[in-house]
Amino acid sequence: MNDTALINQIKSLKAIRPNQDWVFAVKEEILSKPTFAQVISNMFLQARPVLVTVMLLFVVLFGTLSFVENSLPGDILYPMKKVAEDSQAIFLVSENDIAEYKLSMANRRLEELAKIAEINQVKKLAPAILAFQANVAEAAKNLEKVDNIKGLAMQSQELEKNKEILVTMGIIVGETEAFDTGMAKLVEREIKALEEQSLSRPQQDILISIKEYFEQGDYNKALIEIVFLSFSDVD
Amino acid sequence: MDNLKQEFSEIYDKYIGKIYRFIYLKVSSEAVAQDLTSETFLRCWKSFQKKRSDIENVSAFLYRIAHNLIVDHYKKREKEPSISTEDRQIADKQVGLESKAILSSDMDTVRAVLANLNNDYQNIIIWHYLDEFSVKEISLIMNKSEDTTRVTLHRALKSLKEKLEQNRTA
Repeated sequence: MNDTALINQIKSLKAIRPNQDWVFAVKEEILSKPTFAQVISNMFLQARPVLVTVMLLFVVLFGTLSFVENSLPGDILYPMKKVAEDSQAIFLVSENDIAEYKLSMANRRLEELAKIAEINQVKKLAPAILAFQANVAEAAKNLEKVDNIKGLAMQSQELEKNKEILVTMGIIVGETEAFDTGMAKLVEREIKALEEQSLSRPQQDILISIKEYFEQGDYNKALIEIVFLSFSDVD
Repeated sequence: MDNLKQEFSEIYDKYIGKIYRFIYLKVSSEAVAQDLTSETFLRCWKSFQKKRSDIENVSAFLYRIAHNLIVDHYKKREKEPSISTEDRQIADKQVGLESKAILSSDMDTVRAVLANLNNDYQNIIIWHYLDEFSVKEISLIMNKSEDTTRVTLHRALKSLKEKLEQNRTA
């Protein structure tokens, strides 16, 4: 087949045309949709101005808050979410609360990562992972100052669970060396404190498990066991 | 706003057939082509209202929206249970009388082979031979140099020819 014949065959596809009734109907529909500005304008004209203004402010504020709360790394409103989180931390006084709060933020980053993976927004994965690593690094700074580890143990357990969920989705959040080092020091400190105490038989058995987990580098499980030990029966 | 509506109306009249055909040649279904085409123009109209001055090249903008909608359409299809070829044949029978009556078997062969070319080749053949865009206009849409566009056009035509000949001898 020569080129001219081929081109003529291609050009025959010009016969593919949309249905004209459909063309007309779609145009009418698109151009008849009121713009957002027109909707607002009509509301102001038809309803009481003050009430409408108040309602609108409420909707915009609530809508914005809702959007901010649900925003993900890479979204335009996400920096506002971070500002809101940081402002909440200002009211925290005790080192326990600060460490726990920072770890809960790291967990929130992992939940965001899971959402990003679910909706397949691949471009947001890298910033989300970086946000998680930053939060975890922040949490690591306060670990050594914690004296009541119960809340921290729960957040740490949540962190491990969230990381496992992400692994099943094929997402690896990378090493968290500073956090692991902080956890190791915390667990080591707790072990030393427990060794100096008079422990019941069951508590001594739990301490052995704690030391085994510590040796294996499973600081999360060690921490859980330390909390469990404090609630276990005394002889 | 009236000026904007008027301008959009003219753009709609000028491109509705081209965008519809562009999408139809890729999705091979009138219903899907209608859905995606109307969505393309709806998104264009929304962008017009937001900031008309941001859209320098309207045709490139429309084809870009159409292309993205087609990609999304295929991604959604991948996630859904696959449709058997029997279903696909039934869907083709629902093609409007206008399209069906007009497409002879030769045209249908060209359409089917064109749909199997790679995306760039498909697009450039549609734009140049069906939508009658010049090489320069196509180079702006594809964001490539005119020389590269010319070479791509030549290769696209060659690829289509080879596949048609393979189809005939098969």
